[in-house]
Amino acid sequence: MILRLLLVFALPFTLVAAAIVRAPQNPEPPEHYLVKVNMQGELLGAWEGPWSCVCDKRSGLLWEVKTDNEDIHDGRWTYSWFIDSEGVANNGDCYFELNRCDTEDLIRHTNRERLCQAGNWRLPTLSEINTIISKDNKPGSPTIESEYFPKTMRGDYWTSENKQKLSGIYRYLTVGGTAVNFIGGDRVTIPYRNAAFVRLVTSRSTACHKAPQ
Amino acid sequence: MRRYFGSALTISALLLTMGASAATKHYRLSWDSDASSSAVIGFSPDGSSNNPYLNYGYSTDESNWNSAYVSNSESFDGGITSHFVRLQDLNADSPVYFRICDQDGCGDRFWFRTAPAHNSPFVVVAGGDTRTGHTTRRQGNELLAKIRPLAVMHGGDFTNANSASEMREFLDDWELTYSSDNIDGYSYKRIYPLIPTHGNHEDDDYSTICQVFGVDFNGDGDCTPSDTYGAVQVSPLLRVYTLNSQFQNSGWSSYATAMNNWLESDLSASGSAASWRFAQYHKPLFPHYTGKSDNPTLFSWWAQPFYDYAMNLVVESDTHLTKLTEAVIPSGSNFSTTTSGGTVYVGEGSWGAPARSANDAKSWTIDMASIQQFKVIQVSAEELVVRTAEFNDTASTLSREDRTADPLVLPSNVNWWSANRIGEAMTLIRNNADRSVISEDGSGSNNFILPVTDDVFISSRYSSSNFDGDSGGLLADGSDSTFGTLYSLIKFDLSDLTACSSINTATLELNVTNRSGNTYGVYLAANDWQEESVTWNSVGGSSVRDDLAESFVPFYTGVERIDLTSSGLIESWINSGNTGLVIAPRSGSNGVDFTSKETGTSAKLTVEADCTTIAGPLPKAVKTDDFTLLWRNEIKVPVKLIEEPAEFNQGQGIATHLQAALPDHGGRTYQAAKHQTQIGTAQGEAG
Repeated sequence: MILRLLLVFALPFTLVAAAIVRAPQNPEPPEHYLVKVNMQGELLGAWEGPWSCVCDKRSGLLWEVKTDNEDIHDGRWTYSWFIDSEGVANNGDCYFELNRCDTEDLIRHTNRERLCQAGNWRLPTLSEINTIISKDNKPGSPTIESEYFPKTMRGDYWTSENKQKLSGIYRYLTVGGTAVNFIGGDRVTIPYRNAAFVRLVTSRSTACHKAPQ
Repeated sequence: MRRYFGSALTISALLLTMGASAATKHYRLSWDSDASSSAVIGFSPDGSSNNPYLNYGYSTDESNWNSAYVSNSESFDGGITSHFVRLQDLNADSPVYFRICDQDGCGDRFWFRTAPAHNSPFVVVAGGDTRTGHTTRRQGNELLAKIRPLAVMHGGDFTNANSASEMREFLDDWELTYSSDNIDGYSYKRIYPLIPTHGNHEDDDYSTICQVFGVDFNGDGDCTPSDTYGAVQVSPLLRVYTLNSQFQNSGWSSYATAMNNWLESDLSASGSAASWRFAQYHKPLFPHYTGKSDNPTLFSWWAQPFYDYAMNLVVESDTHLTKLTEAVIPSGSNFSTTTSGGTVYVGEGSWGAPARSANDAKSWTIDMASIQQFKVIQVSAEELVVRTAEFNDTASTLSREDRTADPLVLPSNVNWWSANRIGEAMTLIRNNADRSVISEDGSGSNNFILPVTDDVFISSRYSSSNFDGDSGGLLADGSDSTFGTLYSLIKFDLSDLTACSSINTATLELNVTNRSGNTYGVYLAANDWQEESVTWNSVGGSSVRDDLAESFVPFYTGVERIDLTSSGLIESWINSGNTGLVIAPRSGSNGVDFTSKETGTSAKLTVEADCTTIAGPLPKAVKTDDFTLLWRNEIKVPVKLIEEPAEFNQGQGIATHLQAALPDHGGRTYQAAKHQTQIGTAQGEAG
């Protein structure tokens, strides 16, 4: 009788209790050095969205995320290098300016917008942009963590480096700017007048400082 | 009686109203065979248009017009219906006036011109990639209307998504290419024949260009992918080959084989029917942007037949930038430059679509840039002149009379892109095998843009300070409140001129950012200097101004061009040492600012010179002393620097001042005594 009671009540109860105790937790992605940040400057989980910026916990830099909705952050827009009256103004193509576009246009609009509640958006230095180059990508993909940085083009992205000596057929233009090519992660020196892509960065963001280190 | 009269007037008015419109829109014209005798006119219903037809004739007298009927109708993307009227047996080199008519009457008046059946010259426009960038696409379309070409070659990617809605927008914008004319009291629009190409953004429907433009290249009456390639005999001067680079995609090999067989066959049989042969297709063999892969399949298909059958000019698209190449010959899996006759490749798209970084030059590339552009090509029996029109709104508008009077005339103030060494216009001539040779003035003349090696300003108030790389750029002022007197010093790299024997033209370009109404002088610098160390004191202050080469008033911001051809400045640098030039005020205290090489657009010195090398880069490893000696042996042009004994009086004008200042001003030479002595020496040595 006791055995029967055990089989009828205790065993199922024990199995249910064990199942509850040993139930797998909700799956979570492994901790990553990149953290998504939304337009309001709030940190998001790895599988959450939409996100407008990415914080790199290693460097503390907050990076602009590109879009394909023809807003000012559209990844297809190109810009000539022009900062503080240096470079060539308005020789790239975006649709948010009456004239053609340069790097200063994107910086101005992004700071005015306070993307991800951050200010001081600027062109990255060469060493800064090198920190987001990832060479473990699928062949043919841009050399960047595309899951975090969608709409990245396989092309040149401007850095803040200027006054670089030009060579080859561009020698007659004397100096230009440094860009990083997200095809192989290579550094290239191209004329200011070239229409290259831009990914802005800021080192002064509250969001990135909130990210768990 | 009055009542009848009133009724008659009412009926007449009604008929007039009916005659003023038809329920059609989006008129377009294409060429797909013999352009001197045929054309395809397309249009779409605008509401309900029943049994539309075309009335046309060779004068504006509509009572003499004939009617032509829709030969085929096509549907594109389930949203655009197009009717096509194929006109044949037209008179060559003739205006054709037409109106589309239907149950509502006849619509707007249009006209176009058939191609000549003889060797009359003409202008064609060639570009591609109108798929996005509506603002710049429209600018290009408006520029086309001002240029009034005979025809337009479009390299594909008409729209981005190849959807009916985007194609409607394209056709809306295409209306901006119409030129407005008043002919015999009637309002006409000139419409330009289009020769369309299939681009990768048309890949979801390989019949796009026949569905939208009505081309039937193979003449079988059906609209199929086989209508994406063919030849248009524009005139005895030009045969245009349109090819489909997208046939390299998987699944299209049978079409590719048919196309390439046809190409070789046609080149062999009919290529020589024209003095010049052009090809257009979408994907470049070698894109000038690292984000695009090379297309070795296309190279293996076409490079050799193009060379073998003397394809003179190839217009590529897709990459969204501009490029000019040398005349090239296939060599292994690449091209090599030839000066004895080959094929010239130009491109690459950017008629609206966002410009890309021009970052992948080849050894045979002349120059390239990220700009919005199309090519404007003057075609004549003797030569092709290829220019790149950068889109803006500065160009003047040619009238119908202008075009009638001169089939090669181009509007003034077009924003022509200037390629290094070539300048604004690339001239092609043919060798004995009819292949293209880049003519650099036919006499071995070359164009160079000499790079700036040093540029800096000096200040009388900060007479011991060096301002190299200053963010203010280059400054010149008679009396600045902060800096006192300001001069700008500029020096150029002359090594491109080492093998040249005389300077034919020399133009200094300064990018003015702060204009002035005062007069400024371009002077020979009296002594040498380096940008990283020069100060007001180190060059002797105002005495750094040696002879005056030219004067100018920088009255507008933007590029100021100063002709230094007759100044002898460059010859002086070569003979007496490259000390550079000084920009200094000649009167007033309203300063002028220019950009420096550190602040963006550096000064440019564009030189056309007679050189021993026809094309390609010249040797650079020549010391200054070496080329001075070389020049002393070869120089023939006298130095014409201006000595300035008299103070400049702005009121008397520059020309008067110069004549007063110089004892010898016969003709266009103004010679300084000390340089005459030098030339005498040089000529003596040469002898």
